[in-house]
Amino acid sequence: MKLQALALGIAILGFGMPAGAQGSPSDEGFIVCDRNYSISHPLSWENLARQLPSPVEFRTSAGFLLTTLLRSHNQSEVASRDLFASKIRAVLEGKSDCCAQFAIKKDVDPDDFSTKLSLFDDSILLSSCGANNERAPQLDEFRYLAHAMEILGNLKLANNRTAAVAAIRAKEEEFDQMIFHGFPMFPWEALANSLLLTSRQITNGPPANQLVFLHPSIGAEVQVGLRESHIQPSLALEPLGFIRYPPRSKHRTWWGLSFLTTFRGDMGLGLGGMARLQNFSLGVLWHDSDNDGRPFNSKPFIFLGLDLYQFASGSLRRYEGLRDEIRQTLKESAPPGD
Amino acid sequence: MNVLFLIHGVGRQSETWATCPDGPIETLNRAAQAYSKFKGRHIREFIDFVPIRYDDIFDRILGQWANSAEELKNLPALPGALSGALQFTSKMGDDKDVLFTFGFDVALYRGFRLFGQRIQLRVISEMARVIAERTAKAGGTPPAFGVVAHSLGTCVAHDSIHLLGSENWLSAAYEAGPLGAAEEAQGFRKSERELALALNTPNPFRPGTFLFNSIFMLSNTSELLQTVSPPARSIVCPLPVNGASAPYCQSFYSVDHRLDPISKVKAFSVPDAWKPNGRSVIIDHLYDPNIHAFSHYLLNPKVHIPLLAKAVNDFAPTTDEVRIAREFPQFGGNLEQLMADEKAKLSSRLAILVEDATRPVKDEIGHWLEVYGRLREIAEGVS
Repeated sequence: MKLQALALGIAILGFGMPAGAQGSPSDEGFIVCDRNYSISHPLSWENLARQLPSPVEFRTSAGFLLTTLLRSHNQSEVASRDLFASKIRAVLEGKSDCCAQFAIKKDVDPDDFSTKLSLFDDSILLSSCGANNERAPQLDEFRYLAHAMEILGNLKLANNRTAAVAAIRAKEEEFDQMIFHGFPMFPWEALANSLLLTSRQITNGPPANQLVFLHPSIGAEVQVGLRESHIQPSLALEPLGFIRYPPRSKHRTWWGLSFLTTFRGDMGLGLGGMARLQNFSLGVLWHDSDNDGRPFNSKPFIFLGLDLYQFASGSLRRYEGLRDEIRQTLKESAPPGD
Repeated sequence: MNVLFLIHGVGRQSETWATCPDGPIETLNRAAQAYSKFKGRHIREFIDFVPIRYDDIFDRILGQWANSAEELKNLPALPGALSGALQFTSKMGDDKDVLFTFGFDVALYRGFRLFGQRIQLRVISEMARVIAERTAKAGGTPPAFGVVAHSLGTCVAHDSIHLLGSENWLSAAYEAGPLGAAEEAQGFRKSERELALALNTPNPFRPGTFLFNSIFMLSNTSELLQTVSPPARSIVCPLPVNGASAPYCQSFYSVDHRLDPISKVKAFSVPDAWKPNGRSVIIDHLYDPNIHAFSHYLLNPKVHIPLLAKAVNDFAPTTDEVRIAREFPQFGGNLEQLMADEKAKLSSRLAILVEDATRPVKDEIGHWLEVYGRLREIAEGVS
């Protein structure tokens, strides 16, 4: 490794940057002092990669670039050279992050449309080439060194970035799971959950608990002790409840508890409570069946949410057909004038 | 090739919103033909465009609500208020165009944090994926990444970029355990990984490690609609913040049309501290009745020349091209044939709306939606 570095160093010190470096195939990179990017330049990444120890190691490579900079005969303007060197040293000494500061800035004025290239927020002007373009070798060298540092920084973070992309994608999926495949929310519920339960910190993901608020649904009721033929369709309204998505379930499973009210055409309001597991819900409630003004002294009713009723009945009815049947029955059983 | 993320604004978009004939890419391409560098070639040969769409998420939400309500809306046993709510909700599927016309997407983004965060994750995810892919390849001139956002998209872009650079996306991954075989294949020594872990800075897109080369905000609504941080205090600026070694963007352009009322309700103003890397660009051309449109903004050389010059490293307009750009006529395009009095009337109506937009009000969001509706009426009246 050291012999390779030494060989490259001798080549650079002895021969400087060949003038033929310009005019070689361009990657539409910046034009620095009339020079295009050239892969044949000794400090192009294409050449550096062949010379740097493999696998590429950040500190060694950055250290090599620093040494190359300090020993280059092209670095005629010492102050700029030292400024660039200080930027690399700051990274190597852990005093600054890397390597966005090495990105070349092209400033474009929207009024006069002039452009200007620079490094380190105008500290080194890559457009100040001199009256006879005498600064071209030095400034062009800065370009390649800056690119090399940027590339090193990107390579150093490549795996982390890939992992971060996967983590972000997982967060997306978790939000989708809750919003589109979790327990459904009506607009007022979504608003309540956004205001009350959704964390401001996006990396916390969607809330693990969900408020159920004025949530309507349909199902069927059967009074305890009676036969299946007395099953009656029912419109349920959960005035308040909650859903819990267990940790590590990624919002794919949930359970919940709610207060329950039901509306039927053939008797008054039902009051009770309900439990659910996924889309299956089971409740117990009381109607004032004997009209004595005291609902809780009557026999309770069992409420089956639509999915559970379908499952329990054991028949192969299509969901849509059953739903329509319940809706039609509720309409027909409504008091006149509704 | 450099990357340019495009982020649309308010309203329903199609899958081809960016590539259709009146979309931003084709508009930019037509504008670029005025410059010898691009003449006869499509702008896609020079710039890697990445349109990011997020309105389909709103579509899906409205469709789901409509379906849920459809089953229940006509049931007679429902309490009156709930029945009314379900009737309205069930129409959301059919009336999406109308709802989006009146800025309902703004209400969903701003008023429902759950949905706002979902939108932000769409943008963050796409940006992170592209950045990770393009920067993993070593060689040549490293790719630069720019953003052009419009209207509501400026707010979505601002919020998303701020979160991309400031949240600890990897914290869960670090807690889960060491990185896998891929890391070893890349050849980084264990000490590097341990160093990163020890530093406890698991965001590989943070300022100092990454920066956007340009951010163009066209009809900037971020001051009014942001949900994560006031723009003047976020990391989405051309200054290093919180001790970072570099800013999060090199150049920031806030572009405002003098007669566009959309950006005037609680208008964003580039702080003095951001200058000269942060710029306020004022334009006043009138080439289409919908002066607020994304493409309309791009027509002006004060917008598309900086945009092209930042996105294409070796482009700079020639002296002649600069002279022609400076002589860009105020009226043109679809409005060129208007009579003088019609032009004056249009300008006057827009100016009145702008004045109304800047009026201090309590309900700024409601006022913005009203102004948006009135602008559409003016645009449709002239078309």
